[in-house]
Amino acid sequence: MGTEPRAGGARVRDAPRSVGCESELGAAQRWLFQRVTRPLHASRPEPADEARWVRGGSLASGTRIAVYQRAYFSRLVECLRDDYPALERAVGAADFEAWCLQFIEAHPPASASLNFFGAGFADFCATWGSPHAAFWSDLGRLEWAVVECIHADAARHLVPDQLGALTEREWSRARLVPSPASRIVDTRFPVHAHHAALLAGENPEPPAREASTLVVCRRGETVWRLPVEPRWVGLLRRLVRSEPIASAIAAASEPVLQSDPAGAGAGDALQRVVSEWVARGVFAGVSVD
Amino acid sequence: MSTRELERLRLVDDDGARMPIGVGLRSAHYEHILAERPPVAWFEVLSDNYMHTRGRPLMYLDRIAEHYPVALHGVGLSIGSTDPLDFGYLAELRALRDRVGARWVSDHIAWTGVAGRHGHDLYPLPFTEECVRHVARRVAEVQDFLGAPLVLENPSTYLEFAGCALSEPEFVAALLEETGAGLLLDVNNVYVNANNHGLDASTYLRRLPLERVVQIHLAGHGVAAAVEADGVEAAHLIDTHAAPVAPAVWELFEQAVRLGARAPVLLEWDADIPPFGVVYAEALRARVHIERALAAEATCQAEARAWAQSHAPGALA
Repeated sequence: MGTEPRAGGARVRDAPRSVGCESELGAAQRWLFQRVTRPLHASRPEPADEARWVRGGSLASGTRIAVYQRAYFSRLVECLRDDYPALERAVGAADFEAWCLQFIEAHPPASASLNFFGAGFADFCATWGSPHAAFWSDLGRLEWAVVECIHADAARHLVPDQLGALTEREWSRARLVPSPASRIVDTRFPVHAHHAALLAGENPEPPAREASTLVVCRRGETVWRLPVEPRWVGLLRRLVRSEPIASAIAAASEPVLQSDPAGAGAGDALQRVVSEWVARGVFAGVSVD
Repeated sequence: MSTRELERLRLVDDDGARMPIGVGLRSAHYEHILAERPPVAWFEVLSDNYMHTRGRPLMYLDRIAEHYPVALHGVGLSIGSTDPLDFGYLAELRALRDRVGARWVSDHIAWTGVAGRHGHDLYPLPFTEECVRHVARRVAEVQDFLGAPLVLENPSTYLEFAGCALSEPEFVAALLEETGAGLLLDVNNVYVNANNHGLDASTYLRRLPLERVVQIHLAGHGVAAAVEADGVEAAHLIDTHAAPVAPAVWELFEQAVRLGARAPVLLEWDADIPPFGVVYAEALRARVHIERALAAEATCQAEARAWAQSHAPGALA
């Protein structure tokens, strides 16, 4: 091998295109891919078809193809397992895998990245023929929010000093900027405690239906799952929509004060809840119009 | 790409053997690496895990790349596919390389999908001259886009297409010669393929252009059995990356070093991942085999010199 640089790329580009070859290669690739992604329960095609494309040797062609076929499905099942650990525990490993295989057949990967392959799995859960399907779907939506927060940018987060530095004039025009790594999750079942219990290795009975809201957010390496009391859900939504902070707090405080005319502790509670959202990274910063 | 250009990609370790030992970076080990800062020479990063994300994986990678040299290794380039090259993927790959200062970018001589669909696996290519040209054109485009030589790995395979005019090592050699790309020599894959396709692993190794090796992979494999239609049980090897390196693969590695492969060495462990210390200890076993191979080579050379001197004119006088 010489030591002088050589324009290997240019030489290759000048080579004539072999369209016939690429067409044959494409046909071979499409054939193998169709075989590899065939459902595991599907009946095997004629061995003669396999022998036309694949050299057999010590192993039959079908056995060789089956190595890739099993790998295709097991890799994708593994991906869903990683994204939905609590759901797998709740459903049971065997049923979870069976549903994964159905999901894979219905929604084959559409991207070169597997990071978001499981995006539709929680909705798919809702179609499962089980009395717990709606609960499992909620559990899945919480787990998917965690995945989204893991992959979202959380480089910036609001620090309390930024709010403290606002002048009175600025305060009326200040808005919070939500972190890209935060999600509000509304559920039909109170999944938060159940999710934590499942991850801790317990397997409690699904809870009774009761609407609830969580905010999932990431700050640094930690993903937080914070249940939101019903009285603060409106405030959280307004702040995440970047409504002016002052008017969001005023609007949110009104019903709270109506239910507690003396206002005993309401102001402190509001300060505590907003402080927690700020500390956990729900907001990336503050802007002033 | 000349061997001098490939040379620039290489890492050099303290003893000058150009075979620093690295470990494949896995998320299970992030915390340990950042807390303990083990004296690993370098890390190989699975590039696809850090693309299509702006979040936590990149946060860890940035912190680790501050302290260690890294190289990128991908599975999603699909260099052999008949689908058009995915320049969105390549742009992300290039950005990731530049972000972490990766020394080189590698992927596999394989395809991962076709007709717009993705299998997320490494599928084999037919070993034909036409296919060499097809893949070479795409490698050239990728190298132009990245502005650097690509490093290509000989993949593990479980089937061969009928009607191949070339052997696998001939195909690899032709592709590298045509494109000037570097070789990521996966010793375990050579062993797995030799077993699965009835080849001789040593012969396979000798037919590869070892002067183009930029990196060496070591990994463990598993044995699977299948009962064929005639009732005979046939075993085949699966490249699982879920076990220590097999003794036969260590032997093959020594042979590669004796044959002149000098490049950074990396252990891959991707499933049933043990604690970092176990993985690193397994990687460091490579040092013993490198030393043994180099010692054997030195002995051979000394014997050859002695023989030459004894047969030189006047030596018998």
